[in-house]
Amino acid sequence: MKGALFLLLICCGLTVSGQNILGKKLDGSEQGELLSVYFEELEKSDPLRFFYLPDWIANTKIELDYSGKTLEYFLEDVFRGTNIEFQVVSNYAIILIKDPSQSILRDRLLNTASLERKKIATIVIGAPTSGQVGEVTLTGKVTDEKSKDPLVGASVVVQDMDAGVTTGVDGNFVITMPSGQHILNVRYFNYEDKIYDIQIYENGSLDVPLGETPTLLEELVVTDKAFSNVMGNRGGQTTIKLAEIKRMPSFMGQVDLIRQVQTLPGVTSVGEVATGFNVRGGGVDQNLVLYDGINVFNISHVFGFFSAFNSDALKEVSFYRGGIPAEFGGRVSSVLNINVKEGNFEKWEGNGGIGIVASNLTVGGPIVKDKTSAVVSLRSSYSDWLLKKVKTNYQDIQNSSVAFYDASLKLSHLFSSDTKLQFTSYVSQDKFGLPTDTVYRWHNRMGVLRLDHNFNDKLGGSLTAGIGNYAYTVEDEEPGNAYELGFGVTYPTLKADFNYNFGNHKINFGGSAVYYKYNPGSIKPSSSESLVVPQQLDKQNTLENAIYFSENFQWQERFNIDLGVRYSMYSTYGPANVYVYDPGVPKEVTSIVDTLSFAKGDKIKSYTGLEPRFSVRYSFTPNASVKAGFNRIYQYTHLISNSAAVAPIDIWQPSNYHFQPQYADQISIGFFKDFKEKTYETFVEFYYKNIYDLLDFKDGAQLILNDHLETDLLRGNGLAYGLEVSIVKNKGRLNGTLNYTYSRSFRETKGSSTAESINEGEQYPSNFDQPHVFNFNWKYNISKRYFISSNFTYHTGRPISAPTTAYLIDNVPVANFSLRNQYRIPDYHRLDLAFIIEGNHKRKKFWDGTWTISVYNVYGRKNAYTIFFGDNGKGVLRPYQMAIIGAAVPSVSYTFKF
Amino acid sequence: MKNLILGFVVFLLIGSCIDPITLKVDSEEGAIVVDGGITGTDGPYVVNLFRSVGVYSDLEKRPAVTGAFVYIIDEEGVKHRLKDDVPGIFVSDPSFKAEYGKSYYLRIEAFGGNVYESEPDILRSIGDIDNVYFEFEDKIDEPNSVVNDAGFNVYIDVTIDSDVDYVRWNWGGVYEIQTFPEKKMSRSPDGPLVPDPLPCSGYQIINGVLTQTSTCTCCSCWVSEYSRSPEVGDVGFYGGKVSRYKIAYIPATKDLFLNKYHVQVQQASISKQVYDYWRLVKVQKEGGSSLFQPTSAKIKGNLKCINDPTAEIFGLFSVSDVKTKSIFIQRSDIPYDLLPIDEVPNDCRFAADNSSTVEPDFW
Repeated sequence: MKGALFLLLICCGLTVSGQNILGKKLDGSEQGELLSVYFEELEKSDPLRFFYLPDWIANTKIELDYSGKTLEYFLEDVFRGTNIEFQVVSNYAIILIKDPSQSILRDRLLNTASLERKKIATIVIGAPTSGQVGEVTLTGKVTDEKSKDPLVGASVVVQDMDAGVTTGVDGNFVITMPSGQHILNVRYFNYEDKIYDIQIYENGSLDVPLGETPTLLEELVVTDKAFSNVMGNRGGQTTIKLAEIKRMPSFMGQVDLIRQVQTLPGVTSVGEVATGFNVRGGGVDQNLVLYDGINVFNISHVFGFFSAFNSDALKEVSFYRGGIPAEFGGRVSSVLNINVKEGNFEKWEGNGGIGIVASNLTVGGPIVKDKTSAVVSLRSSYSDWLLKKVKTNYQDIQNSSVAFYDASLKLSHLFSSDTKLQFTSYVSQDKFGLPTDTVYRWHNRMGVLRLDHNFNDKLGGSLTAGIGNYAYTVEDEEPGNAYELGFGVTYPTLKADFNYNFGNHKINFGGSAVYYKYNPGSIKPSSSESLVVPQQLDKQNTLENAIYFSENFQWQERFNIDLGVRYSMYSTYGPANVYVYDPGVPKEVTSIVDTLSFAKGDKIKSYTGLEPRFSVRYSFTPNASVKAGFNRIYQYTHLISNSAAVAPIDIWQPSNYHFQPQYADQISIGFFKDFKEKTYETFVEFYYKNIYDLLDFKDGAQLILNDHLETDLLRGNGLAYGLEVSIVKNKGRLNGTLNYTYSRSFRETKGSSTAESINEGEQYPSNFDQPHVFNFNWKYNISKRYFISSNFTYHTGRPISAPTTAYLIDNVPVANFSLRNQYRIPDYHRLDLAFIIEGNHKRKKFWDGTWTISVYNVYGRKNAYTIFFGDNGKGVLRPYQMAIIGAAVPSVSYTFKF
Repeated sequence: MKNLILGFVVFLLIGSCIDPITLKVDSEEGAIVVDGGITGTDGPYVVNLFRSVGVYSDLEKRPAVTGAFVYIIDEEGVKHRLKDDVPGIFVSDPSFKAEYGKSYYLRIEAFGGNVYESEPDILRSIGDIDNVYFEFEDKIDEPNSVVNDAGFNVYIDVTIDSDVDYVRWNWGGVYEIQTFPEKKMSRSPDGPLVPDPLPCSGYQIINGVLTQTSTCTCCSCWVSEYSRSPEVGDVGFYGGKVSRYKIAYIPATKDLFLNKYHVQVQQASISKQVYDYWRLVKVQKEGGSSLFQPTSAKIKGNLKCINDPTAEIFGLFSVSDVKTKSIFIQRSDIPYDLLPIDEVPNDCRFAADNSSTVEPDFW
């Protein structure tokens, strides 16, 4: 063997002379023989000799009939796709040469990996003696080793070839490589890399279970191109790293998904007590929040102090604010797609947290090992009973009460590796009692069944059937005025989604049907002496259907194109009475000219919407790209609110006879660039959005229990545009994100008369027009177990209508206000800090605990939540600012995992 | 420490913190404010014309509108001039009496040439206040209660006539206060506090001795209170008869119940515009204390400038039938003894807003 190598090295330096022997014609007898055997035969029959190492071709069998072809043609064909070449020396010696660089690379990779203490598994597929020549195909599936969930978007890279693919929606991958020895690396963020020293000699399959990274430290080091900004298919998309959230400062120890969303570029919020968030100048109701595929209407506990989702129960959260895929619809501004964690299929495990206002626990494991698993998450506040123990001078405090809980359950059953059934159920409940005997209660409830099936390598699909419910009640116990006010919506949902892959085309298509039954409002007296007149508004029944189709493909190497279309169909049904108004005058109760009666099931009004979606990416280099997108989306339900923040008694109003659906057109274009091997990821993105047929309220509108709401609402348009800039540092002991957004958001409501216009029909800033928004998060690893993290946020104060003058009427001081939203509250800024101590990072241990010490609002700024005009008792009227949080809020929480 | 954190948590959830703030606004100071109207009772009718003030100014010092010609005009076009013998207070001739079923409007010809008019409105009879009564409510026995929170809920039973669409309820209170101006002390040039009785107390220092020389003219005052938040109702909602409508809450404190407390309740028929106006005022008043306050809005009155649409004018000229009814709540209605009042060494007219030494007729 040493001799052969020596010869090979010498031969490299020789000049090739004479090709005669290569002109020999083959007779077809070679077909079916092993290459090495055939070489021996040739050496006997002809004046030539082959020099090579037997290993190189030991497995190679001659598949085809080469009769009539030259020896040269034969050799070229056999070694095509391999790293073996041949040379003729002195017209008799044929020397096979194997490019050594690949072997050297392979050895180096293996060395590096073992130095990094990564586990290297050796896999042999086929035998060197019996395999095929040329390219082989490896197929497989990447899954979570515990839950058996497919990992979508994991990267599978043949490192020695620098070639790779990412897994599709079902976790499957297909990759081709020359037969022989390779290093295969499989990566997914939040998971440990898996490295295979693979010897592959024939087509084969490999299932790759990945384990979650025990130390969160490494999971932020995401160098994988599958997740990079630059190579992502669309702008305005973020995958939220849940583990990262847990390392950021929290408010009163509650790890909060929604607060994290609020720090993303293009996202704003009107204040601490603000349910939800505003995306690119859109309203809170314009965000589609899906919990395993089912809409969630209220995403907050305690009016927005905490999000309604226990982050321990969640697996993955994707957020889209631009280039929204065709499979999503029904809300015009953004999509927050939340996937719930599955139970471990192998062993029971759990995690949880203990905080000063609430605690949570998640436990999951196999019911039938490797077949069926379950996971249950619970979170509950205990502030209510502690409240009673507080000795304070504030009587209001003792007579108030706050309580909330949420619970999530997920059951999964694997029928086979291609068929899976899942059931998810989620409940959240809030109760807030004011000292004035008023009690607010609201809840979300949902259950959903989902069947996933892969028909073959190319076609997969899922069927989803579920039901959701959101409702609130307000109870007042003051005897003369006791009442119970209610609102609710129930929505059974049916969905079918399919994906089909061929070549570099990925096709998604499907449809959905959601039936909404609204109880728009009811009130009943709750004591015998109550003066309240009972009232029940007509229930509203609507059906929202949609079909969609989208295709993603690579074009001319540098373009990645995503084309989609969604067609939504909406109808509202009786029974109902609909008022018809005199068309010439403003809609008032006095201008009702007729009442239309619709019987049960009668169609009252239908709307349809064609929604084109388009995203394109052009890559200059693997580190720089431009992305552009356009989307149109229709929305058939509207949150009706006349306060700046969403109040717990705001109502959702479906489109109907009087209210058209709202729709929005958005274009965006961005430039994305990575620096220093993706240590820094940056982007600049511009968007421009028009929103049509928004509902706005008339000044002083009565929204609750109004059976002629059309007289209090007006139709207008919205305009939003902005520039988002983001810099992320991914690696190193100090990493962080810096986001800055300049954006504007306007409304324009211009009716045929002043009474039907807002601000005389002029364009005015929306409630969440906050031009400058700056967010800076960073985390510093003091050591592997100790971290400091911080979050700084700044935004321009939101617009308000301010009193400009005052006067007395009938001894009542009255403030004269400016036109709507002409002034601003002071700018908001806040710094939070956290110190995190994690348990040791041994992979196998029973208990893993983490302490988090957080300070929210470190320098105790009294950020104005609102400004009101107060009478100081002397007839002098003046503005006051109300800060919800007026000091630094320290908290300690303990989270654990077992 | 635990309690401290929890207390804090709760504080920020409920108590929050409220601070005065200076907001830079473009003040629209100086617009005419109309406050008055005609009623179904005998005149004279009064229309107050003052100017609006900046939000940091004192409403008591609002300037009067002068040099204006003010008329009430009926549906036949007859003009009834109102005169301002006291600046800002325009009063009709006592011979003019409004009639039910007729419509009236106000016209102001302001100095400088602007002309303002209200929407014509018909005077409709309202119906009676059948009953005014009160109940004592004591929250002192509730567990954990620290604050003495007891008082009188005042209720009304009323009848509303059939052609009235909107109604406004209003109340005013009068109570007596007592002060001790003779006990005023001042710092003498050489340091110590020495008696310095106010002249109206009737006391003087004679030879270093505090001596009464005449009766006190500023020791007893009557203070008027007004409902600061208007109650308006739309008749369709309440029906022609309304029973046990809670209109006021009078705290049972030693300051208000030196002797007795007078409550006068008023019921008025109002137009849709006036109803909308008061409803928005009510939204504004209640908004301030609510976390989820509705966005406050510009409140338009029922007058406008007819020659210059950009000229602002605020307020109301109301054409309302008004019925009133009064009751006294006696100190003895409080089922326990009140503490003695504080001895305020001041002129009683300055001890409270809207305080006067003139004893009301009904007292």
